Amino acid sequence: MRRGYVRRIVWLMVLMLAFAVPAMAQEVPPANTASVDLEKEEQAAKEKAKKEADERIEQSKSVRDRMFSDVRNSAALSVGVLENFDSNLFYDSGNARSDFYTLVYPRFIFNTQREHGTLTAEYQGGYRIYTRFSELNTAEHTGTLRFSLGVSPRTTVNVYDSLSYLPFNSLSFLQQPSFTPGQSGLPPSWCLPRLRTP
Amino acid sequence: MFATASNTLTNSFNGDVSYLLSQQTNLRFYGGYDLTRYEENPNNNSNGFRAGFRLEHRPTPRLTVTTGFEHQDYRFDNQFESSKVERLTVGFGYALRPTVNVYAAAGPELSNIPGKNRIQGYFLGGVQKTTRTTRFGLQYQQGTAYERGLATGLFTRTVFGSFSHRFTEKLRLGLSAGYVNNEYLASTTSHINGFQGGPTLEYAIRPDLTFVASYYYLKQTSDSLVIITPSLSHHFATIGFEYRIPRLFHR
Repeated sequence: MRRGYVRRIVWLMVLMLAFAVPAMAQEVPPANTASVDLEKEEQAAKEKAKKEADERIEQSKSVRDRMFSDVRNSAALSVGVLENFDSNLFYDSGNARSDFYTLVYPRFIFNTQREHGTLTAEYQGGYRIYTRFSELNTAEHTGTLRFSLGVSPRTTVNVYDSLSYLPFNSLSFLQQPSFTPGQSGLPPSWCLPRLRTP
Repeated sequence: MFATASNTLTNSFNGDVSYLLSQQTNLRFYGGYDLTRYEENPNNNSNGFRAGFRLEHRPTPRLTVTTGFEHQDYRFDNQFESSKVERLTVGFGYALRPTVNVYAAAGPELSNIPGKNRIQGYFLGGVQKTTRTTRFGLQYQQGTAYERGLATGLFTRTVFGSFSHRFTEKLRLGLSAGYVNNEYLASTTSHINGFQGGPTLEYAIRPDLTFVASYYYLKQTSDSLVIITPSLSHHFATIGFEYRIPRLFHR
């Protein structure tokens, strides 16, 4: 059953990729608005402020993410090794069992930008090798897909998909679907990172 | 915690369409679909759906006011009846400085957990600061939520704070902490309190090689009789490296 869902989700992502790239290349008619000097000045000031804000955000990113800050219209691949200690593998109340495990993972990032749209895909696989509880050895997968398209000067479409297949003890109780950034109220997009880093 | 020792498949699909009504006003329609599948506990498999719209108006360059409506619907695969939330919010965002923003949104929400209707108050508010070297965020949220995977309706109060500072071009230190107080809205009321937090250190040994070390502590207490592990504490530590392989291709 799980494979069925994974297959459907992978198909969904492939379809998004197939439609997104040609759509971004389409010509969009120019805005049919009168341009006056004041508007141009306002627009220039807005663009300058946005550029400065983007630069601040870029500079303030984590060191790991800054390794990939130049990935525009290109792709990047990295590999990582993490040694982890977990003091309570099974979330037991009175019989906590601890273990070390090694996580080996590749990470792949792809980005393409056109005049009217941006597509970014990221995938991280991994395999956990436990020292004592070898029966827990398992693979894990996480992936995200972001697509943004300016359909017209006034209309923008954003699509975001996040897929994960993780061992049971990877979930944080602060991750709740109704707290998805951007969906309720005005939460900042970066304010709810995964507490379990990286 | 989630009371199920099982690998988990989750997918969250979100989309929105924004239409600029005028230079200062934006209308956004959005929707999302969450699914959770437990490999060994399919009885806990669940689906979640949400949709809504938000009207954003910027009367001054620093101030944004918003109003919106959202509908949420969650249910287990093996249950016919779903849990629903209808939420109406009014909010604002204000830039105290170019690098500092405060924001808040509040409103009534009607939750329908099978067998019980409730009208409650929803609130979200916080402050964030982003400079070239520092990120800081502090947020408080209260309202109806659903635990991922259990589709269990609960009223939550959450405080979350994060701070990250880049001391040099190569060294960054982060600190994050969160406190959650959940009240389950099932036939019998029960509570879970949880704290989670810890530091992270990142060091760029080379532009393509990063060292990372992190630690967090988790403490959970509960008076629930149905949760398998009502009270627990947990230490988790990580140390390792990530290496970026030289450029694959570039156009």
